[in-house]
Amino acid sequence: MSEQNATLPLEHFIQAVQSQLDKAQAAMAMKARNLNLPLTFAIKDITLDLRAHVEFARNEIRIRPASAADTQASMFHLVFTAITRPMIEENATALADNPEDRQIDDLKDDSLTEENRRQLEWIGVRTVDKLQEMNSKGGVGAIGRVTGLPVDRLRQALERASAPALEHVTPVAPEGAGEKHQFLRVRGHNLLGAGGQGTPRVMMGNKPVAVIKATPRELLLAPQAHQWAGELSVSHGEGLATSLAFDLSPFAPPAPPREIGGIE
Amino acid sequence: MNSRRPLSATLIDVVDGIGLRPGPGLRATSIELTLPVEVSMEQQDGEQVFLADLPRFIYRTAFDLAPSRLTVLYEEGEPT
Repeated sequence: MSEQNATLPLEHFIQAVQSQLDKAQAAMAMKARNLNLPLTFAIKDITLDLRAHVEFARNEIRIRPASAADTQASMFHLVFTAITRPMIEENATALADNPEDRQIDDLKDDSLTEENRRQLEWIGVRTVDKLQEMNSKGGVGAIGRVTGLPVDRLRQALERASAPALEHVTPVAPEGAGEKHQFLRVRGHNLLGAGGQGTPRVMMGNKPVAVIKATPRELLLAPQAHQWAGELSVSHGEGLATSLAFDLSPFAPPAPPREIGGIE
Repeated sequence: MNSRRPLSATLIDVVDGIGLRPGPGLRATSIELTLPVEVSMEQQDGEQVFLADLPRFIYRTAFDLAPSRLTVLYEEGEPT
């Protein structure tokens, strides 16, 4: 299939048209500025009755302009109108996700297929955090009804998404201590228990590690001298523990000298 | 080879071709045109480009694209 006969997702097609409209607007404005014209003509509205071949595959509308051979092409009526910068920003704010949130694509496991994730995005659930928020309000059943996703599969995905996830471990020195590291900072997700309550259980090997501070995204640990390398595991008490191997032994504080008994 | 122009070039050439220039006195403040256009997509520098140009031939054969229809409203305004 040649490129001209390949279909595009509808949103990519619309973006390609918008890109051309933006280019035309910018070029006309630039010309007016260069010619010192106080006024110019700008595109206000544009309507396109497009003869197109349309496919529906994997919950995605795909489109390509009709070729000469497409005698039974569909007609797409596309209307574009110029909007101002404040209008763009207003809409962008409504769509903006918290950059700290995990995208729904992170749920790459057996419980949700790519098509399932697209169905969730279609109803505005673009982040794992949004899915968890809806679950806490009892909205999983409604999501299942609207998208046709089995509720069991959604619950399974949520269960996995609620498990702690570890990203990295870094050494931390207290203020004024220079390079003398005493603590470990652990970054991740869901580091607190269900509902963001309760200190997690943190282990190195079979030994617990002291937790100084815990937030859903970060733990501050006070490890013992032998706990600066190994496999760190975090759990909420019930459910699977998540583990991460690390080696920060070069940053470990020097072991205190052994006391030698005095001579009387 | 596809010799059609991108939509942006067609829109600019059309308004240029009409020869309207905003200015004092009696003048047009907006113009709406409905044009037949031949439409296709083309990959250029890794990007999908929307091509929309006026039909190349007056007399159409079975090998020519059936034209789509483009309605565009130009309005007078201050350059941004």
